Amino acid sequence: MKRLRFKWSGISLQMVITAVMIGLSFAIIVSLSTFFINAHIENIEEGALRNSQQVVMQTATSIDQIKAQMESRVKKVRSEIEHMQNQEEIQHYLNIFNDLEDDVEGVFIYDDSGDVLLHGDNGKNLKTNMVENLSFDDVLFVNSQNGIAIMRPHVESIFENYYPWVVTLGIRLDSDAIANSRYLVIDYKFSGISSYVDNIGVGQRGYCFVVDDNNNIVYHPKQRMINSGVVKENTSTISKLEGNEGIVDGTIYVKEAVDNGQWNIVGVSYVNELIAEQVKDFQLYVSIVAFVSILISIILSMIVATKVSGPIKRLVHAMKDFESNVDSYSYEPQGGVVEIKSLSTSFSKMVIIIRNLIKQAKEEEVTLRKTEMKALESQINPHFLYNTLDSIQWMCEQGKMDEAVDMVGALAKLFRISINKGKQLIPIREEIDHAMHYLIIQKYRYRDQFTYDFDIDEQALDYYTNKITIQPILENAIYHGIDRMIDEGHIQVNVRLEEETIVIEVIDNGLGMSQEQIVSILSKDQHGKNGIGLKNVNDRIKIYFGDSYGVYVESELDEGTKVTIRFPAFKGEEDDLFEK
Amino acid sequence: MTCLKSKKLWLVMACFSLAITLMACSASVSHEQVYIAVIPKQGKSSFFREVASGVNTAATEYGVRTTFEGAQNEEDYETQNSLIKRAIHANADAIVISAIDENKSNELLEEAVSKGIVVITIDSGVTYDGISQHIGTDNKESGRIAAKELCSMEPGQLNIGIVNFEKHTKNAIEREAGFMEQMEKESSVRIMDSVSTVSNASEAADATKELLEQNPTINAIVAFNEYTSLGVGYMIREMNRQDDIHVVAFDNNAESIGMIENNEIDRLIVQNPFAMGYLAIESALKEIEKRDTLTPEQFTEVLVVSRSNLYEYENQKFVFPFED
Repeated sequence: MKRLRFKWSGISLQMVITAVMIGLSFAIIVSLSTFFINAHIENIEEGALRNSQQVVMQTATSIDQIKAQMESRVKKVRSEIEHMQNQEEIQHYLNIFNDLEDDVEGVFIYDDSGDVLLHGDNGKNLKTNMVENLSFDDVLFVNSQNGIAIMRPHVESIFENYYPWVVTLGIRLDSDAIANSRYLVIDYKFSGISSYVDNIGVGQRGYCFVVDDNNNIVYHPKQRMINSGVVKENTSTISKLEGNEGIVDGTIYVKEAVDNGQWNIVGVSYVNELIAEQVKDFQLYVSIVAFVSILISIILSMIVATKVSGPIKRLVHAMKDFESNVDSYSYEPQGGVVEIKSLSTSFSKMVIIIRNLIKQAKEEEVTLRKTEMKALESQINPHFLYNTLDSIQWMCEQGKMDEAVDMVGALAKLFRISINKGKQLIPIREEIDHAMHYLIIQKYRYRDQFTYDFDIDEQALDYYTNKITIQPILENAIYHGIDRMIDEGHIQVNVRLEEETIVIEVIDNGLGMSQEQIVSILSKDQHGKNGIGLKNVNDRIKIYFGDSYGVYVESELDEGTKVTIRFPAFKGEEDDLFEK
Repeated sequence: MTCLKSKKLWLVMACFSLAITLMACSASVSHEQVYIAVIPKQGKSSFFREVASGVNTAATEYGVRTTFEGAQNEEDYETQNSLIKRAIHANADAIVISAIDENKSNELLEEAVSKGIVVITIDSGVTYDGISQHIGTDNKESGRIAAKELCSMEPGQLNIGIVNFEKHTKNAIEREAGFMEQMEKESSVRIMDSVSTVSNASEAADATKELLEQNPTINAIVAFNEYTSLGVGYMIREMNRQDDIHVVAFDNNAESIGMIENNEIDRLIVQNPFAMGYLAIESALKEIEKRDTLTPEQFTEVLVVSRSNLYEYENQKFVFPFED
């Protein structure tokens, strides 16, 4: 937690926004591209398979057509020959056929044992001592009773110094014109098919080759290397393919039959390269997108920064200015996004409120000091002092020495509170002592015109109160209630704890006050012999404890007055109070 | 003001880097096609037509551009050198060469290598050792095979005449060395004479005739390449010596195969020029793309063909080239 806080401290909002945007765009790009790559690899494989399937199918179709043409020509030649009556005519026809058909390497009429009876003249000599005629396979020819036999591609070995690769097609022949004639055989150039197969490219570096129905290689572009083992072609894999296609170890094999499966075109291509290529392209694309979006996020974050962090910076700056120059600082709310606007407006209001509060606090401080000074001044009210000393003198003259001693003691104690270490708050116990001494003095002075009684809740004694709180109320009761009474007056002082509140009541049965008088004594400072008055007490309590506390006056003319002081109960020093 | 300036700067930078990325992108997508110049000795022999066929197969498979142009004859190293110069000039990625002279092209090949061109020799190598790979028949081994074949045909005394081609060609030197090495192990063998001709069948035939006239006891002849083989074959036919002279020859073409059928040549050692062409392109690409480290030499197989195995189906594929 601490580390985190440390990490974030000292990083500007603009940096945070930029980092978040870059991070976000990265995260989105990476996750999306991973998703797409994974999703597309399968598609790529499938696509590659379909692609090579298509190529191989086209190849097969083309070769099928080539073969079909070969077959149709064999049939045509046979029907022509079978309609001819003499050997010369047939020879002539064969010569022309051999000459006109570009892809024919030789056209032959064989007897049963494979001797050439007639052949189309192509300017080449038949070998006199032939090692082997590869263009004659009577087993194959015999077995294809009605149809055309197709031999696998081989070298034509019948002519001198001429060894072209050919495909031999043989068919039975019934011609009365040539004795013992049994087979018509045409050698077609294989180069037409081989160069076609050679030039088929499957995918990136794939190729095609031809296998027979037993998966033996009929033709392979690289067959000279396969035989010497430089290149391997795994024909066993092809035989194991299900449904003539499949991907084995990253190699795509597709097999397509030509002409009822006697030949099959096999396409080989490499899926890894296809995927690598496409993934590479994709990565390039992704990195471009990432790059662009990072640039965009940098630009966006700059815009956001000017719209958000700029005003915030200005606000921070304004706050610092305000901090260092509270009194004369003025702030104009600024525009921007809604939040910034309201923040700014709030701050401008706050500036005003804080300034008012500070002003108020200062005023209250001044008032408090003034009222306290007044309270203290009232303690050495010369009238009161004069009257009291006069009374003491009188007592001494009368020889009432005990009373004079009491009086002097009370006066001394009364003043002691005024010099009570200069503290504003004193325990209620001491405040009540102060009140009692005051009443002792006044009782002598008024020659027992009144009686008094204290009803104190012991629990309340240890709580604190403003000093000189009760005395001014008593003074008020005596001057306004008891003084002008004809009967003996009575002052009742109650102190009690009501939950969290100290309640002090001063009840007299004096003349009472009218509503106007009540308002008057609570609103006017009283000067002169009448001391500091109720307002002073009320003011101090309210400054100290708030408006919900204070001095409350109930009075009825000729019945008496009840003054209630309420303030919160607390123990301890002033400082504690303000802490609260 | 500064804020505005930096904003503009950012925009400019953004556009700039975007442009660079796009350029890099388009450049890498349409990566330039590899160009390999193949320089045979001379393009007309069936040997080099097979090389060309292998080159084309590999070129189709790997999608590279190749040129195939050789000298006028098998002594014409000047033309080969000018072809090397042209390839260097054309910024070829690789040069595949079958050197006519094992020394005379070294300087130019060195220049090519110094310019980052991959050089691969096929069939006939060079003495310069900065090339990436030599691909060809193991000439010494094929010389030994020729010796063994001769010995297997004649239980008695062998009096051998050698018809070799241009002496400066590495192939000729190595084949003869291998042949001699093997023959030294045999007891009843005498090397009667060794003649050297240019690579030209009629001159080889004349040389054979001279050889036979000067050494009437010769009962075995070995020829080390396509043209000398034909020359020997022609002369055997002409002198009608099919039955009393054993001939081991190199390289296949329609005529030499005919000579096998007619017993004029007894054994034909068939090289694999298709594989040389194919593998040369493959190796050149490996080296260009730095995919693999090449061994200094890569040997291709030879096949010994006689009258009896000539038409075996698998041998057909090896011996008889596809003419397109």
